[in-house]
Order: sequence, then C-alpha cells, then structure tokens
Amino acid sequence: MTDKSLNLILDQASPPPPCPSDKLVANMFAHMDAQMASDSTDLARNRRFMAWGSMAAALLVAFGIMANLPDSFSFGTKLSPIVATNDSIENDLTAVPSTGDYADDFANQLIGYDDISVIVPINDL
Amino acid sequence: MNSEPLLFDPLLGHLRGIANGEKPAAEALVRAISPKLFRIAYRIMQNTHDAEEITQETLIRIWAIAKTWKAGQARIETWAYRVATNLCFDRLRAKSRFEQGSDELDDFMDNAPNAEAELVHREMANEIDRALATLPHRQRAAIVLTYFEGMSAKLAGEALEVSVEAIESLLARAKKTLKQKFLDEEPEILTDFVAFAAI
Repeated sequence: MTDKSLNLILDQASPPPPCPSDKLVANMFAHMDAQMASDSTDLARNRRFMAWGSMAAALLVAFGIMANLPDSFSFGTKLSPIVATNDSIENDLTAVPSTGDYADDFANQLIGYDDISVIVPINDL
Repeated sequence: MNSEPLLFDPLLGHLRGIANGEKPAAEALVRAISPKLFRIAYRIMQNTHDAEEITQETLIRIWAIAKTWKAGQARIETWAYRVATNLCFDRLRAKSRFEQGSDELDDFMDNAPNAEAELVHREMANEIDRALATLPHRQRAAIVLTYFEGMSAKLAGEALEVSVEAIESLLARAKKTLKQKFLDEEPEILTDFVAFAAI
C-alpha cells in the first residue's frame, strides 16, 4: 500500500462534528465575568490590606522613635554624661606653684645604675 | 519554540484585547481558533464531549496567559495547539480504556446519494476511526496535525514540542502501523474502499 492509498483511505475517516462555537463563546464570557469579578474583589481586599498595613507600619515607626529618643537614637547604648568641665585659663599671678619635687622623681628613675654618668653626662647636670 | 522573532501574529491583537477584558476580542479569538482546536481534540479523542471540554479548557488558558503573553516568543495558535494536544494526552492517559467515537456519527452523510453508499461509507469511516484509535497517542496526534489539519512538520513539531525529525519518525511509524493494520487485520476496509469508490 502506498502513502497515496493510505491518504485516500484516511480521507474517508468520519468527519468531526461542527464546532460549538456559540457555546464556547458563551462559556468564555461567563468565565471572564467570574474572573473579573473575583479580581475586583481581590483588588479591594488588597487595597484595604495596604491601607491598614501602612497605618500599622507608621504606628510601629512612631513607637520606635519615641522609645529611642531619650537615648539619642542610641538603641540602648549607655553613654557616660559629662558632668562639668573647667576650661578657664589659669592666671599666673594667682596660680599656686606645685610643691612636688621633680628632681627626686628623676632620680628615682635612675636607681639601679652604678655610674650615673653613663646615663646622664656630668656636664649636663 | 521559534528562535527567530515573529513579525506578525494575527491573533495578537485579539489577545491584547482579552488582556484588557474586551469581550469582542475574546469572541473574535474564540471564533478564529476554536474550530481547529475542536477538530484536533476530536480527532485525537474521537469523542465530542472530551473535544468540547478540551477546547474550552484551552481557551480559558489563553485568557489566563493573555496578560503575561510576550509577543515574538511563539505564535498564539501554535501555543494553543500544544496546550490542546497535551490536554488530550493527559486525558487519554487518565482513561483506562479508549472510548470509541462511533456514536458521534449519527448526523454524518445526510446528503449521501443513496442508502447503500451511506452505509458503506459509514462502516468504512468507523473502521478507519478504530484503526486510528489503536495508534499510540503521539503518533495519532502527528497524523491528526499533519494529515487532517494540513500542518507542516515544523508547525506540528512545535505543537507537540518535538523536532521535525521526530515528527517525521512519528509519521513514518504511524503510517507503517496503519498500512499493516489495513492489510493484515482489516482487509475488508480496502474492499469497502474499492466498493465505495465504485458507487
């Protein structure tokens, strides 16, 4: 049997019934209506959710700001406050000279050396 | 899927309208595409009820994809054929046994020249339908798309998501099976065909 014979036989296959286009169109319209109604409901729900969600978020931010303002937005890090400072320049006439013996302090640094001249030349004293 | 960009898709305008919820566009697209979808589904399923449901489901999927459809990726029509054939395959797989479509022939050949010709033709058509129904699903779809719907191997390959070579292979195997069936198992169909041709 050739391909041509096969094609001639297949030509005799039962024809499909007519397409129910009107019914398909009507069903399509019904589906579109239902879907669009559902979409509009979802849209309204989403808008409500967005509105209430925005309000809740704004309240949370406000609460957070108020809670952290006393700490200067430090989020709980405790800073040591500066109680007082004395920035005035001391007057030479009224200044009280220190009574400390600085020479002894220097000498204390040299304890342990046998010959002090090695560390400090004698001429420099 | 086409790799080269498509310059013009006649159904694209309708699809854009559907995406905007325009019913005239929806009606135009349904009337343009549904007859062929219905024929393909019917030829594969050999059942009016299934064919109608598959066509409707395909149209609804077109509506669902309309808003996100990217022009140039594929032809809408080819995509719809692919959806329809896949729905057919799903349904055939789900069925435990294949339903014959012989009950759908009541209105066939109303204009037959005489009762004898009608009888011979109807019986022959039933035998051909039965022979087609014995083919594996993809071979049957290949025959339906290329032979009954006149698609090119390239277009049929896109619809079935296979290469042109694979389509040609499916067709060759389907033809071989049908020829063998007609020659060995149902030789009377050839006799009927000769008788019908002579009437």
